[in-house]
Amino acid sequence: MKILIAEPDRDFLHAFRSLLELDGNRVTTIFDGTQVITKLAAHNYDVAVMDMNIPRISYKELVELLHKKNIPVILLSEKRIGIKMLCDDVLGDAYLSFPFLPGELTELIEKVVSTLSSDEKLRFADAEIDIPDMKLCTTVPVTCEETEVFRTLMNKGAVDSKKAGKYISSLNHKLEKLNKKTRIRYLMNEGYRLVT
Amino acid sequence: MFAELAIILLLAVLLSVINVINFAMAAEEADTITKQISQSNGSVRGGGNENQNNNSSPDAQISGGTQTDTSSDNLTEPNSNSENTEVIQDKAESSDMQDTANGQPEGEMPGGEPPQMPEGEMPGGEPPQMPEGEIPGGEPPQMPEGEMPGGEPPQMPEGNIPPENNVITTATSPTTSTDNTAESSDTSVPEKKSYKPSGTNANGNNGGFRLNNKGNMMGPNSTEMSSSLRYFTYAFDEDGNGEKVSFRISAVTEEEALEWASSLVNGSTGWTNITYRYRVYTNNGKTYVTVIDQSRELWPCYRILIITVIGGIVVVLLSLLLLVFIGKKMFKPVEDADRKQKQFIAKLENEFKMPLTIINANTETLEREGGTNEETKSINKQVKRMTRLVRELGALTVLEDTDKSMSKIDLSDYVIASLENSRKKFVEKRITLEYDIESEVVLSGDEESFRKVVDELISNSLKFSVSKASFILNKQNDRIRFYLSNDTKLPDGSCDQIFDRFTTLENNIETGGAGLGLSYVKDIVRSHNGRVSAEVKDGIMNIRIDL
Repeated sequence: MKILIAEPDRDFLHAFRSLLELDGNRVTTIFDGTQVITKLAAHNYDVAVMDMNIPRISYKELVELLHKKNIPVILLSEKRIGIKMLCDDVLGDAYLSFPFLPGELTELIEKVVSTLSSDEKLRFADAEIDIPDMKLCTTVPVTCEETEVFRTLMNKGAVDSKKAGKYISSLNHKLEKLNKKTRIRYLMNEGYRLVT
Repeated sequence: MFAELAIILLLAVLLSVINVINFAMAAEEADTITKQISQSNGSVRGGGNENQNNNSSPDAQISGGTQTDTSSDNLTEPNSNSENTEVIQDKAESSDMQDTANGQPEGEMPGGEPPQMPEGEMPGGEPPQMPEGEIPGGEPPQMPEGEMPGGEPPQMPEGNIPPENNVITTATSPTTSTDNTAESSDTSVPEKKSYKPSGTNANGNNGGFRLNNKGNMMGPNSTEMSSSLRYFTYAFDEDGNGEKVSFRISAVTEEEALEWASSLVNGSTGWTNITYRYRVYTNNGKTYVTVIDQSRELWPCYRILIITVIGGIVVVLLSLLLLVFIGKKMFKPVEDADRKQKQFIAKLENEFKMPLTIINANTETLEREGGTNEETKSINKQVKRMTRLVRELGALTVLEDTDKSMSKIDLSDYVIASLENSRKKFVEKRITLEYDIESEVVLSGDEESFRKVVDELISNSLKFSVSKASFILNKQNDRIRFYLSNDTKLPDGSCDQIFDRFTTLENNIETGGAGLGLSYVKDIVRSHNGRVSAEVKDGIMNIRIDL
């Protein structure tokens, strides 16, 4: 895979370049926002990993740029990923907060790439997620994790409340904002389910 | 808060006790006097040196129904009170002079002289030494000279009065002139006597002039008290006819006094008309009623009452004011320290995040390139451990500006979901799990935080339960109650300190953790106006959260 990592901390860049290249990936590292633009002009990437604190340019602009080229973006955040962030920030395809284990990043990269490579619509009642647009009901952006939760619930699979808790909440919030009737509720003896 | 109330209460009690004792003592003293009077069988003699003669002259003035006897009226300064020893050496009370000056010509001369005051003679008596600073041991002032009134006495209030002055005795002189102008102006002047200075005495004793005390100086038995007493006594026979036995009162006429006495005839002893004390006693078949005026004695009592009440109120107000203004300053350091602690933790946490992540990545690279060995495994383990800790720290510090949003949280849902989710873990640890969660318990607050709260409580239970854990969630009267109990090895008692930061009661390497979980719970609950508490009873730890 061709991976673009944008992060001001150079030690980070070194460490992850080494690690990711071990897996056979081609890694491009940049520490300055403006470099992203130049690199993008010349190359294409499969996925981008970007620190929200990238200097010089607001990361939002960069994310938009990357999305225009259909490159999924994983955003690295110093703050905990909260429900609010998931509802309001709505830019990244996935979020990861410091500190994380390298395995978590590699997993996430794979997940993001595979999710966005498929072209499908997930629908339950009046709720629909559009991949690869990554939009809920065509308007509200969703992340990969949320998509995965949604898919699992649609298939009546089990969802770990601890890990998926915030995605369940954020989905509920977004559905509520859209005035949809679908919600995710915990049912006794069944666990979380999509309900109306 | 409670400490202040306690202090105020204590103050109130103290002041009340003082006043009660004061008034009780006044009553008792009044009783003593009435007893004395009654013992002398209703005769004129009070406990002291009065005699009939004494009465006649002032009575002559009084019985005319005039209130010229201003003895009680002149009590603007209650220092004429015999209880006040200062009177004897007093310097500053000019009214004293006026009192005695204005017609109590029964001042008894020491040595029990017949009060032949109006003669301006003081046979055997020492002339009062006028309180003039410039006459140290000076000449006897020439009393019976008309110019006395308005003369020296008003100099009393000046500060430079040598302590050996006997104020009272000076009083007598002007009396002579004012009351008996007819007589005194022509009265023969007593022969001048020379007096040697009897030695100044700095501490206010009557250095040199010694009263030949008959009786006490102060109190109900004092010499002066008995003669300054205002009272009347009436005797009643079986038919209810009243007969005056003595009349030395100034507030009422004889007829009124008779009526007054007869109204009391069926009582025994007590207060009447607020400032008068009475006693009823029988003798020789007749019922005697004595009423004495205690207004002068009661005045200081009321004075003390007012002073203590006002003083008490002032003190309380002052202390409250102080508390309000200084209280804030007092608490500020504590609040500051708490905030700084939070900031510090947050900063630390931030600084650790990146390095940990990098070390993690490098370690993995190391292992993959160089092969794993003891050292790399160890590094890995430790770094993972630190990562976990920092994550916990990060999750559990609450700064005021974190993304908090108020939303409706369905607690029941989440609690049940989490409990079920962790059921496996409970089973693994052989802890029986029970719960009773009311459905639809909803709360307004920050959803994320409350999820963590629930997670923390469950995880806490997992860590520290021995064999049983139970959770109860319900809503009562608009308040949400969340009870957790688990059996524990901890001793009985209140354990609110488990909610303190960095406190772990049972230290266990495995459970790890920074001791922040429950403090997070407390912070969140508090910020939503709730309460947390914990106690151990009969080997069961009960944690209770009210919202």
